[in-house]
Amino acid sequence: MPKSNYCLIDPDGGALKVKVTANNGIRSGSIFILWELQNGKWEKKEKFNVITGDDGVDEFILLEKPSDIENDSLAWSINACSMINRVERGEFNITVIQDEEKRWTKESSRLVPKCSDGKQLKFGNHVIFKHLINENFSTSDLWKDTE
Amino acid sequence: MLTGYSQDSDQAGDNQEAYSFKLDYNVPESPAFAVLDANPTTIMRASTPQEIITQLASNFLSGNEVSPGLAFDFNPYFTFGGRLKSVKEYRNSYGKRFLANLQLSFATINSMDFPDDLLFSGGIRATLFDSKDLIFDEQLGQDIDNALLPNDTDEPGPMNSDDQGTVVDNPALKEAYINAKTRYMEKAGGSLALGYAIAGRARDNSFKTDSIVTYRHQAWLVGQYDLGKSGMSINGMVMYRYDQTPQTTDNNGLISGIALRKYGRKLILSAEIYHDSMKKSIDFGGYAEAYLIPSITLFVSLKKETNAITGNEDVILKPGIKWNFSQAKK
Repeated sequence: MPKSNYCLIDPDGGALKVKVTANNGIRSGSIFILWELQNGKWEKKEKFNVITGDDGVDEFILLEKPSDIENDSLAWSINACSMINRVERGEFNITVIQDEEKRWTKESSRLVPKCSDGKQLKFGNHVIFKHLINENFSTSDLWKDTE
Repeated sequence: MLTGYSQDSDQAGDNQEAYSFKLDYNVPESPAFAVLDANPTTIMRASTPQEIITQLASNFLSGNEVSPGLAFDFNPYFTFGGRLKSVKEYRNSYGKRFLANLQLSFATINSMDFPDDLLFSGGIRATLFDSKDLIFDEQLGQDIDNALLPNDTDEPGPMNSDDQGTVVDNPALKEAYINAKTRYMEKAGGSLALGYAIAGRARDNSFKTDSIVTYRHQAWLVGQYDLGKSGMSINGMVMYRYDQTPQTTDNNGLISGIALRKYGRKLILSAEIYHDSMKKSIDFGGYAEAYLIPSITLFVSLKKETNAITGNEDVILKPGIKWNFSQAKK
């Protein structure tokens, strides 16, 4: 599973599902935005509000086709706090899933303030989508394509 | 437990209201202090533990004999790596909830009863049931979720890279807890808790093996019922105590009684009556607890105490403080 900011996806595969989890009774609310670079300028294409809530999990499906998503950036900003006062730390996971296969996962263990203190942890990052090169594509086929 | 994280500075006046939205006013007593008779009350509370608490025992305000002591209470399950999948699991799994609400406690105290020795103790407390457990407040969960949802102005840019994160104030969270506190105080409900503690003496303040003796064991069951809008609460407790002091060799018996508490937003008043089968006496006590300073709870108790050496009984006015370690990190 890649740990870089690049997510390799199958351009011919199914829609991309993004799953967000927070354990230990930590609550989180976040915004995910899909950005596309058009003529040297980033344009907002899709926006999702994600609340992990009582279940500690939430997910959404990107509307953009995987074939059109290369070099797009999925960026997020997450606010989180601990509802259970004895809990100070929790694990966060952001996973990109395509056709039931995990394409990319971001895991982090974080110290989280207590909701009852009136404070929240704010953090965020982004991931860039790249198309997988078909492993069965032979070199001779590649040369044919260039001719 | 002293974990640090980066955070924004508090806004002016923030600390003034910090204690007003914390639900720390119904914090159960330290089991380790209970076995040392360092708690200001005899009849304990049964509610779910709220915080990691460090308590200081002292009657310094009265100018009487000083008995400084320190108790540290924490949850062993989370401290030693226990995990919870979600709030839903806490609500649905009795076993996980039981573990999440365990309270392990250690304390030391310098007692006038044993002036040359250091008294120490350890205890554990389990919440068997709490119908007012805050984690079950679904409205609070929804209010927190709404408060956590970022504003449009917080939309992340395409190259957003704030992986480290920062801790920031969120006034909407405070508002959610102020409302939750009102609901909590107005809700009727009960709780039940079980505890065990052991006390020992380090003779001449030495922790060599042959200098350490245990002198007391006790186990107790305590129930609490909050009447709701009146802010009144009834507590009942049955405790078995095995005692081995210079005055009471192999003494054992039951301490049982009830307490009536009146919960205000910044002041708790309590009166208790209990029977001690070892002393064959019925005793009374009074207690007041005030939340006037953030992180610190001031209390004063009035109760009859017996000197373990002389056997004399005196009614003692004992002021003291509780320090909420978690809040102190702010």
